[in-house]
Amino acid sequence: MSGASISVRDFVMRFGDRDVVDGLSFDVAPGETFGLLGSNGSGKTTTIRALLGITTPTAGSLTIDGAPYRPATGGIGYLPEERGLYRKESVIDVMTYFGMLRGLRRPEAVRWSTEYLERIGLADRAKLRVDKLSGGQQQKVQLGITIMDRPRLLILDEPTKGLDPVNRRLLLDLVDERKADGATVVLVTHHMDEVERLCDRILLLRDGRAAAYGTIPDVQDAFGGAVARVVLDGSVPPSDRYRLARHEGHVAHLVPSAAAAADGSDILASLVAAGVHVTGFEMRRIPLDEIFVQVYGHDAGADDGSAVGRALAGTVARGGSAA
Amino acid sequence: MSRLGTVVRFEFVRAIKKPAFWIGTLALPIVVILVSVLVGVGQAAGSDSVSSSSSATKTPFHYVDHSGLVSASVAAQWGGSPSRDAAADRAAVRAGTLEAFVEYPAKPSTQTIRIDAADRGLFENGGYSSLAERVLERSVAAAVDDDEAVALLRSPPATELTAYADGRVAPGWLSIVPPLLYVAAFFGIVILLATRMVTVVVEEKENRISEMILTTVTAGDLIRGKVVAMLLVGLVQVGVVLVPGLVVALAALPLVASRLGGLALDPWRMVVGALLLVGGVLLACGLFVAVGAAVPSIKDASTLQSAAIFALIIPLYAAFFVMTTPSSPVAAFFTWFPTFTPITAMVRNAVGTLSVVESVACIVEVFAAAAVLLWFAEYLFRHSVAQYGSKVTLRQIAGWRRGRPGTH
Repeated sequence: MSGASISVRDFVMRFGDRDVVDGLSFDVAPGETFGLLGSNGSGKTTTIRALLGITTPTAGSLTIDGAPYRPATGGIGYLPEERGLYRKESVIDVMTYFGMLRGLRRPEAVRWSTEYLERIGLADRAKLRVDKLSGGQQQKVQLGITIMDRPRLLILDEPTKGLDPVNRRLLLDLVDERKADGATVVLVTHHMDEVERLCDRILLLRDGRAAAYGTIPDVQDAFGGAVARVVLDGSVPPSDRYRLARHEGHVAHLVPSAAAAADGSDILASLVAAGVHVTGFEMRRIPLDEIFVQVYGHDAGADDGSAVGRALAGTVARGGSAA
Repeated sequence: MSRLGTVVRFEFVRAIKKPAFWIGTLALPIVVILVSVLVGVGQAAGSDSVSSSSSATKTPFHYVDHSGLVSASVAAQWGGSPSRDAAADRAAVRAGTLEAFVEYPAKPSTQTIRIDAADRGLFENGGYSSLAERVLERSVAAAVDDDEAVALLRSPPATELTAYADGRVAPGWLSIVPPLLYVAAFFGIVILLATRMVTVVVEEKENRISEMILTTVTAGDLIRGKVVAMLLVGLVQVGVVLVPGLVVALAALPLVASRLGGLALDPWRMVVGALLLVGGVLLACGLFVAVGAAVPSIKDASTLQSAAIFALIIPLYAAFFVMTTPSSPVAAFFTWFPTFTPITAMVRNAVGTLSVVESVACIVEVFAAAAVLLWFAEYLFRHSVAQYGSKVTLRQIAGWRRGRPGTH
């Protein structure tokens, strides 16, 4: 099975006088797992809704396999952030209904649903009303509906929100299976470990614009590529060799400045010279959550001349598309 | 099966498989029958009681006769004796020492017979009037030497009316019953349909299902499927009420037909009524879907839902006035105001005061209004189906019309 491709060009969504998304462009290749990241209100869900034809864009084009999506096209599995089920109906009836809406014949939908419920350990709950299930169980049923009929494109908006670690792993395994099957996956999440585990490329949205776009190493490189993890006593003095990204307890994360050496030796030297008692020092690739904090923890724009701004401008340019 | 068919099947099956549906559906005719039986039995018992309590019985009373028609012997048979002092007798009644005092006027045919009497209670007091009338009636009859005249005095003659219209015998009262059944059906459907329709429309929003389902079916197909399913559910409910109703009617009609003029089915009125019913139900659907599409939850729908029901059934309160004065401006308003048209036109059609031209115009109006409302309801639904937690505002709708983004 080949996955679907996505193309978004100059997408604008205006609510009232506010541009929620402003000139966004990006592509997702068939079979790719794509991370759509951003803080709350950055335009992720708006983009997905427009892509799926649930809302009409103010301007721009959003296509799946070269054409605007219509329900009759099918082949899409979408797990929205705001999700629910027909609470008064039985689990099997709800799953069968969605299966039939996806184009399965009734016996196929029943068989698929039964097998899925067996797999996730809810076979004995099949005839119970949905509202008799726990929140986590309902979420697993929702995921089952999403991946029913092996969709070519899977769009998951915060799929692990509210799940315990066991169910989270189960869910991610199911996503992995769809990936292995060749499906294109668009993942919206705030969990950067999920992004690092699953995604080939990412798009960071900020205020409806692309703040960073590309492969994970590309984005990391754009943000300095590395970060110094320092175990120390006391506070971190200011220096032109680094910028303090985070300081929790005895661990500080320092982002090297453009002038800093790649191995971080001058950062360490600068700290020691300032009288800081350093008990551990390590240079590592800058983690995505650190980038997330940098992007969304600052008000600086992509062209404000700051280090973050320069990084943002760089990744977007390398990603091949401009906000 | 098409997606539209899938939606129809799902919504229909889940509605009728619920025990609550059958309890509600069957409860309505059962309650109506029970109440009717209780009222009927109660009325029968009440009328027996009143007629027996108000019938004339022999009662000691004094009387004054200014007419000269009262026979002393007849009066004596019923316990009466002439008064010697009217004022004293009245005082005696007030004092409770005399049961009744009757004063017959000089011309009883035009003047009132005055009675003073000891209170026997609201219903029993009617017996005094019967007594005074009976004494006068029997006295007059005793003076007439003709059995037929006496019989006519005692009970008025029966009449048999045959009215003609266009050279043919005009239908009697029973002829309005069949077309009036459409009004009853419309009322029942509106009441039964309102909550169900609003609930199924608002359900996706309330349960946050909209986005998931809209990737598999268009908002248009979804709402059309729901409307069709709810109409089928309505048909089932009407059928459940109608079938036993027809059986009872067929059994009971021969008993009352001779008194009411016979059952007559006017094909024109029946067709007009049926079309008004179908158009009215579609119009009601449009209203209820619009209500469901405008609110985020069933709880938020109650005010608008009540307003929609009122908008449809309020003409029932003016039905009698409209029937008796069909050419008045008020009747015209009720006839032509779109949400009032179905009931008003059905009532006028039943009693034969809706002309052919008016019938056609009303049918066209109802279907046109239903089409506009259903279009607007679907438009509202398409644009608001993924709007969780807040009502649709008029400002938003205006924004949609200006081309601002909304839901497909």
